[in-house]
Amino acid sequence: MSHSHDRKALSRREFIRVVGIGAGAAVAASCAPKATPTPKATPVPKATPIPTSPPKKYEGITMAMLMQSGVAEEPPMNALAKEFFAETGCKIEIDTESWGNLAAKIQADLASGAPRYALFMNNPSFAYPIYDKLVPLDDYIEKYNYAMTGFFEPSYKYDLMVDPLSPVRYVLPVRFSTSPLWYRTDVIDEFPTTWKGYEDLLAANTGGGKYALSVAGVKVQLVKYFFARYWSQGVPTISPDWKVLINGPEGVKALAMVKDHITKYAPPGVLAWDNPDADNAFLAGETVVLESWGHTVPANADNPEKSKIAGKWSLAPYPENGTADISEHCFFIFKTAKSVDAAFEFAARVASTANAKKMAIENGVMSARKVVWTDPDVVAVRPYFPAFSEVIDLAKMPHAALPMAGELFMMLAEGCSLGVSGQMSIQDALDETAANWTKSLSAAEHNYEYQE
Amino acid sequence: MPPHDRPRDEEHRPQMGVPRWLARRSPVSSVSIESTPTPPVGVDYTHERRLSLLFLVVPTLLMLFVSVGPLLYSLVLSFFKWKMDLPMSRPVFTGLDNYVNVVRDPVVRQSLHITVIYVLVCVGAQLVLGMLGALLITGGKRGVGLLRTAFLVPFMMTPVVVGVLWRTLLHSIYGPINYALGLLFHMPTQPWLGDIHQALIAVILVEIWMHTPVAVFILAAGMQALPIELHKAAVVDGASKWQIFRHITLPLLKPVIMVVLLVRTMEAIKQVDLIYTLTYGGPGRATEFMSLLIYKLGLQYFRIGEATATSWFLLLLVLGLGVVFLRSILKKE
Repeated sequence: MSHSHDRKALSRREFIRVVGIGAGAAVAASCAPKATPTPKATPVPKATPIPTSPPKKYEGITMAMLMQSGVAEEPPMNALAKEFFAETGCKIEIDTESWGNLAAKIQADLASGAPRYALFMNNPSFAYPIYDKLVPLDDYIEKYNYAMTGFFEPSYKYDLMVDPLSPVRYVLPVRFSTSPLWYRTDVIDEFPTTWKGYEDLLAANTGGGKYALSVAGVKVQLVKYFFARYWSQGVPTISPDWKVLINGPEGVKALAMVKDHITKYAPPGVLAWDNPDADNAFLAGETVVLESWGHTVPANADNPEKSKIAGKWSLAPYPENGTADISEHCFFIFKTAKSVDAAFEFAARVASTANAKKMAIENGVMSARKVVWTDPDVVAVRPYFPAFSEVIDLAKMPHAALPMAGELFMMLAEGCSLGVSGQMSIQDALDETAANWTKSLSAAEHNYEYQE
Repeated sequence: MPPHDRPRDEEHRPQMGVPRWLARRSPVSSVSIESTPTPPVGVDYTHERRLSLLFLVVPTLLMLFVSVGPLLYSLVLSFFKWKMDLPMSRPVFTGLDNYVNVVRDPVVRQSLHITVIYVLVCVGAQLVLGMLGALLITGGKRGVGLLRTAFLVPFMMTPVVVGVLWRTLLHSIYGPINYALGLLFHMPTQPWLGDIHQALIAVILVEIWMHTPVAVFILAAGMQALPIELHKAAVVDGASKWQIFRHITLPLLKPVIMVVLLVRTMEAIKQVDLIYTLTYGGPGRATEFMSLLIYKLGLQYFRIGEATATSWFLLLLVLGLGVVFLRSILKKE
C-alpha cells in the first residue's frame, strides 16, 4: 500500500519485488558462462625464459583421512601430512572422531554413496565388516618394496584374518598397545605375580581414606579388566566350534574378581571414570596401581608439573599370564580413494621404521614395529618401552575376522557393567551376554575353527 | 457434507486449521472462520496468492526431502531385518517381527520404565520451578534483570557442554560438589554418576537445571499477557496473593501450562546428547533411556530394522501423548 503523500517512495510489495529481481539477476549472472576474453596484444618475448618446476607426483590430489581423536599419533600425523604435501603435492585432510563414534561415521560415510574418506586409521576390527570396500595391499607392498619386518607377532597373525576366506592383507599396522599394570615403585618393591599376591597388595594399601587401585570404570573400559582375569585361566571366549564360553565358571570368576577389586580397592564413583580420570588419580599419587592403557602416564609421569610420582613408577604384566586385549591401530585404504598409490605412499611413510622411531621418541607413539621398542635411541628417551613390549607380546586380539567383533565387544562391555555395578548378578549378566553373543554370531556362517 | 449444510452455529464450528477429528464438539473461544477478515471489494489478490504458493513450494519440497522422506524410509526399514555391519548384507523382509520383539524385549521395557520416571519427574519439577521463576521475574522486584540473565545461562549452553561440565562437577574425587558436601555437611564421598541409583537422580537434576528456564520464560510470557483488571479487582475485593494466584492466575494460565508440558515432555523424551555425555547410559543400564537404546541398536549394533522399529514405537507413544495434550490445549474452559 503506497502512501498518497509520497508517490516516489516504494511500497513494501514493490521493494520486495525489486530485491527479488535483483537477487535473481545476480544468481543468473553468476551462473552464466564466462565471456570470451578479449585477446591481448602479443607481448614482446623476453630474453631469458623463466624456468618452471615440473609438476609434483600427486599434484592436485586431495584426500580425506579419518582417525581417532586425542591419541599420541595425532600431532605427528598432521606434521607428516604437511610433509607429504610439500613433497608430492597430495593434500591429506585429517578428520578425527572419538573412538565410540568411528564405526558409525565410517558406515554412514560408505552408505552415503559418495564416500569422503580415502584412508582410515584405527583397530583392524573396523575393517571386518567393510573389507569388500578396502584395497588389498599385498600388491602395493610388493610394488613399493615396503618393509613388513619387525612387527609384533600378533600383527602377522591377526591382520591377515580380515577376510576369513583368504589370507589377504588389507591393513598396514601403525600402533600397538595393551593395558599393563602401572605401579608406584616407592610403595611396591616387586610386583606380585599371583592374583592372591595382587589382592594382598591392594588390601595393604587401602584404608583410612586411601585407595590402592585406579581404574576406568565406564562400560567400554571394563572389558580389558575382564579379559585379563579371564585369559589368565587359559580359556578362550569362544570354543573352536563356536560355542560361547564366557558365562562358564571361568567367566563368573573373572567378573567377580573385577567387581571385588573395584568395589574394595578403588575410590567410590569409578564406574563413571574414563581413562583420563583413572590416569590422573595415579599421576596425582592418589593410588598405587593403575590398570589402564596409560595414554597419558608415560608422557606425563616424569614431569613434576603434571605428576607427583616423577621417577617413582614402573609397569608390569598381569599376574598368572593374564593379559588385556591388544589395541592395534592400522591404516586401511578405500577402493574409492582418488589415488590408491598416493594413499599407500602416505600410509607407508607414516608406518615406516624411520618415522615409527621418530614418533616414538618425540611423541611416545607405541609403534607396531617391535624393533622400535628396543632401539637404543628410543630406550634412552622411553626407558619403559622394553618392559612394555614384553607385556604386548602376551596380549591377544579376540574375535579377529568377525564382522560382529564390535558388537560382541559392546555386548560384553554392557554385561560387565551390569555385573560390576550390581544391577544384575554376575551369572545373570554373563548369561545375558552369552545369549546376545550367540544371537549375534548366528547372523553369519562360520566355516572355519575359531581361534583366539 | 456440502458447505451450505454445515452447522452454522458458533458452538459447533471447529477452529481454523484444526482437523475435525481433533477438535472436540465444544464451544471455541478463539477466532472462527466467520470472523476472518474478507478482502475489500474490487481488489484482485490472485497474483499474490500465486506468489505465496511459489514461496511455499521450495520449503515444502525441502521438508519432504529432508524430513518426510527419511521418516517414511525408516518406517519401511522397520519391517525388515538388516544387520548393516555384515559385509554385503541386504535387508530381509520380516513383517511385524521387529515390532513384536520390541514389545516383548525386557530391555525395552526397562528402558521405557526409566524414561517414564525421568520424564515425569523432570517435567513436573520444571513446571513447578518454572512457575516460581516466572512469578519472580514478573514480580517487578529489584534484581529482576540479573535473575533473568541467570536463568538464561543454562538455557544457552549446548547439551554436550552441559554434560561435560556436570561430569566434572559431579566427579567423585575432584568434583566441587562432593567437596562442598563434605565441608558443609560432613557427608562421605558420593559416587554420583558411578552408582546405579544416584546416576539417574544426577541426570534428572542436571536436566532440571538445564531446561527449567524454558518453562520460566514461557510461563512469564503467559503471565504478562494476562488481563491486569482481574487482579486489580481481586485486590480491591480483599483477596490475598495466594488466592489471586490460585483462583485467577492459575486458571487463566492453563493453556500456557499445557504448552510447557507438551514442549518439555517431547524434549525430555528425545534427550540423547546430555545423557550420552554424562553417563553413556551406565552404569549398567541405569540411565539407558529409550533414545539412547535406539542409538545403541542403530549406531553401535547396526541392527537397522530393530532400531527403526523401536524408534517408531517411541514415536507412536509420543504422538499419542501429543494428541492428548493438544486436545487439552484446544478445549475451551
